[in-house]
Amino acid sequence: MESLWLLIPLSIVLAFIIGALFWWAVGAGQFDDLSGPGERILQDDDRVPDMLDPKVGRGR
Amino acid sequence: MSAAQMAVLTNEALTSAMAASASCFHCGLPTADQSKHHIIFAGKRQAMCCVGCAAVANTIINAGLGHYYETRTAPALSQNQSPLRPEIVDKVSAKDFIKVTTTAGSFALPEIESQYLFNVVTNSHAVTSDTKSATFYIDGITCSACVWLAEATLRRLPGVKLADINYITHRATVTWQAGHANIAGMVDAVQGVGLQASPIAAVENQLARTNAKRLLLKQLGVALLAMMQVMMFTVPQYWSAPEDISREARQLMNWASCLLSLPVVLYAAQPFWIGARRDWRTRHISMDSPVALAIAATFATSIWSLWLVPEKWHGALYFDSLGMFVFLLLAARYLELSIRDRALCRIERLANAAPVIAHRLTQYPATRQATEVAVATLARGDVILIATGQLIATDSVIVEGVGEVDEAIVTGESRPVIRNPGETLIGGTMNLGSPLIARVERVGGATMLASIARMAERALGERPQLAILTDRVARIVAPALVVLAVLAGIAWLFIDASQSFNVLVAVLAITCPCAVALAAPTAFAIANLQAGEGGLLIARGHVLETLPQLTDVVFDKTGTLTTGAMAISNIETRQGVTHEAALEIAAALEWGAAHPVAKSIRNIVGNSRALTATGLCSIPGCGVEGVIDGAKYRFGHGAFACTEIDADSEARSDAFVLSCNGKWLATFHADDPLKPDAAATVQALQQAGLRVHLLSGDRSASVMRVAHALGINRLQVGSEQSPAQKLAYIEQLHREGCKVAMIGDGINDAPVLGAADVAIAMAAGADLPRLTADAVLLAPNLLVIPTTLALARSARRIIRQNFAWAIAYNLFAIPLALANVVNPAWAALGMGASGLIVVLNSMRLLVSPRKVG
Repeated sequence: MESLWLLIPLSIVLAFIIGALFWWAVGAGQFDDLSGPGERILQDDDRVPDMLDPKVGRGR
Repeated sequence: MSAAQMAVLTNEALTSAMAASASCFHCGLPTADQSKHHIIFAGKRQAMCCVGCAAVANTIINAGLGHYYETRTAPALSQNQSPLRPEIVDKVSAKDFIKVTTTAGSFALPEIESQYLFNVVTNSHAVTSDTKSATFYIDGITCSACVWLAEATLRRLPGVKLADINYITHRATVTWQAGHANIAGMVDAVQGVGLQASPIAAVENQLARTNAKRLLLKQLGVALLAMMQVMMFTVPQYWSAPEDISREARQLMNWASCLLSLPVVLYAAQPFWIGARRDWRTRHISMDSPVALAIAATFATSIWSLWLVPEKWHGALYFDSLGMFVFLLLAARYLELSIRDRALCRIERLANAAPVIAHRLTQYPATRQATEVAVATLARGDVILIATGQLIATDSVIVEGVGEVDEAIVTGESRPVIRNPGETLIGGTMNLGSPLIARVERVGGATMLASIARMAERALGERPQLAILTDRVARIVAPALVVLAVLAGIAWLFIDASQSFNVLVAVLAITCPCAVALAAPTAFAIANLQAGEGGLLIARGHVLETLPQLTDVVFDKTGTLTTGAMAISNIETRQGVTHEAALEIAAALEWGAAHPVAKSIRNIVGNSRALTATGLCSIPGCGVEGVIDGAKYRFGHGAFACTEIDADSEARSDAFVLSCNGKWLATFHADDPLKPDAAATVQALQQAGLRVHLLSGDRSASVMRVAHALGINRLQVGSEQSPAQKLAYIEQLHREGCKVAMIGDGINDAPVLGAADVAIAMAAGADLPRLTADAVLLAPNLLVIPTTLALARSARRIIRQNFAWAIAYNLFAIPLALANVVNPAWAALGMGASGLIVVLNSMRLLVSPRKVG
């Protein structure tokens, strides 16, 4: 029974943390487009390092 | 080739298939001369069909985005048909191609650019005061690799901070540092990689909707989390014997529940507080007030018993039911909002489908030099060029070229339709065939697309009678229930004072008419959405409500059940009169007439005008009269044209007689073929238990022929009907207590359509804003009507179930609550669940759209 004195306050803290995370996630638009990110992973190109270099590819 | 078909192939197979055959590496189209254009990709020489594709492919590869070609699952949109004439395309180098073809120029003007800018409100650190944002619609996306390509291109522009494309809506939201980038540059860059970016104006409305949805989702999440956690603390207490859990532990868990309920009351329940405050101000009680009262009462009771009467905790703590109540009510609201949002998105897509850039041929037909202009600057009569794969700028009539047009956005029909010179193009649809030259007919708010969007928006805003009625009932019932709850509470003071508050809270929670209020609007909103996607535009709010009540359907024959493309099949003439001469006279008389026979005659004669008739006078239902070279000619039905007509051609119903000074000259026999789905439609309607009528201004025999072919009862057929007679026919049906739907072309039978309970007009080429109709058939498919009827019937059945459920639940639960049999926890669960069940039941309409035929 003594463990409850630790676990219950802990669960409240956790619930508030989860709530805050959810609150932030919705506000940041994480739930606006539910299928896009899945597709985006397939497109992420990590093989071409010069992608990140702003000097490359502005030849136009 | 469709994206779905292409997706079956793996990327490698696709790439190799393209390289092996003589098709363009970029767009997959056949390549005539492989040696002419090529690019080097991954060390291999790849054939290109044209300079356009070569230019785009070069841009992509030079920008380090060649990864696109490895991951795509469908070929790119062709650059083969540029807005320029092919001979120019051949002359320009790949380097100049993008410079020549770009449409970005018009956005460089600050006053045009400013229309598209908006201030975005997000939590992102990248957004500061000196940033600008705009939303683009990215056109030409064939697979997810295109999205990546466009995103990567936009993100790498100097000054651009954020660029995100929604995979479903193909909308890009771009945020950039003011002064370092502009809309023109973005349009240009996206065009460089072979896609089209069109900025979308007026996104504030959409932003507000997104924010409202996000807020509700946050509140829903908070309520759910609190509900679950509070239950963790309360359920063990319910299930255990009192001595199993120590008093201190109970105290701890109850205070924890109280703490977790605070966000529910203060944050998640906000919509109800706001609603109750509005009710208080306007002195009209909606369903929010009893809900707010119930929440306040539950929370107050729980706090009070937690604070003052610790020994009675077990009975009077309702933190768990509070969370559940708020969660279930919010869930129902969230689902309703999502449905509305989907309907609004559809409307918005329609309203923004038209492109912003057009190619105007200023000196047509002298030269064909196209200048790029903003669509907003186009006026009626301007001549525009529509290249292959381009969106048609605005409603216009083809002058030159035969178009293959994808009108799916309006009609829902994905197969392209052939459009010949003289036919109307709908702005916002896409030309898939050869380049077209067209004359602008309607611009701005008068266009078909704008009208559709306006009508759909109005229908969404108009509440059906049933919804208005339930609202009114809720307004009367809600305060009555509050009074009832208070009275019950007072009554229990005398029976058992300790239970008084329990009863008050239980009655408040149980009697909230949320389920009743949600029953109709949710089902109607979904049915409306489904009907629109099927190709029937609902223009008035009452349509879905009236459709299932119908007993009779009246068709106007010409152009409704038949194709309306009346073709002259045979000409008989008097001795000495040639067919050509008769046709020329008829053409002169019918000059400018929109009647199908007139069109058919003009098709034969061509646009040359040999004769001119004066004093033209058309007599509705009979024919036309005019004077050519001093002789009076009549063209129309036999009895009208001349008296000496023989019985044989009288019998031939579709005969049109030409007479000169009352003497017979020629008889034109015409045929009007039935639409392929007319018989199936009539059959489906009859099977649905409706009487099908056919009223037509045409002659008896031809109408009978159609009626016979379609299986319409002879008694329900009226031929040679004037508009006044048709009106009388419908009024007669009304007197017999029938509910009548009239299906016509919407222009000629406007008064008749107005008399029907539901007027459905055919949109084909019609002037939409002038239509007097409750619904407009946009799809070239009559079967949409029985399908929508079935949908409306499903909606009615679901609404009835909803009402039956909601009312039965209340009738069952109120006495229990009054008798203090139900405690507030069960009352809250029951009430919240009943509302959610109603919404979920309505959502069944989304899953099973009933198809007929």
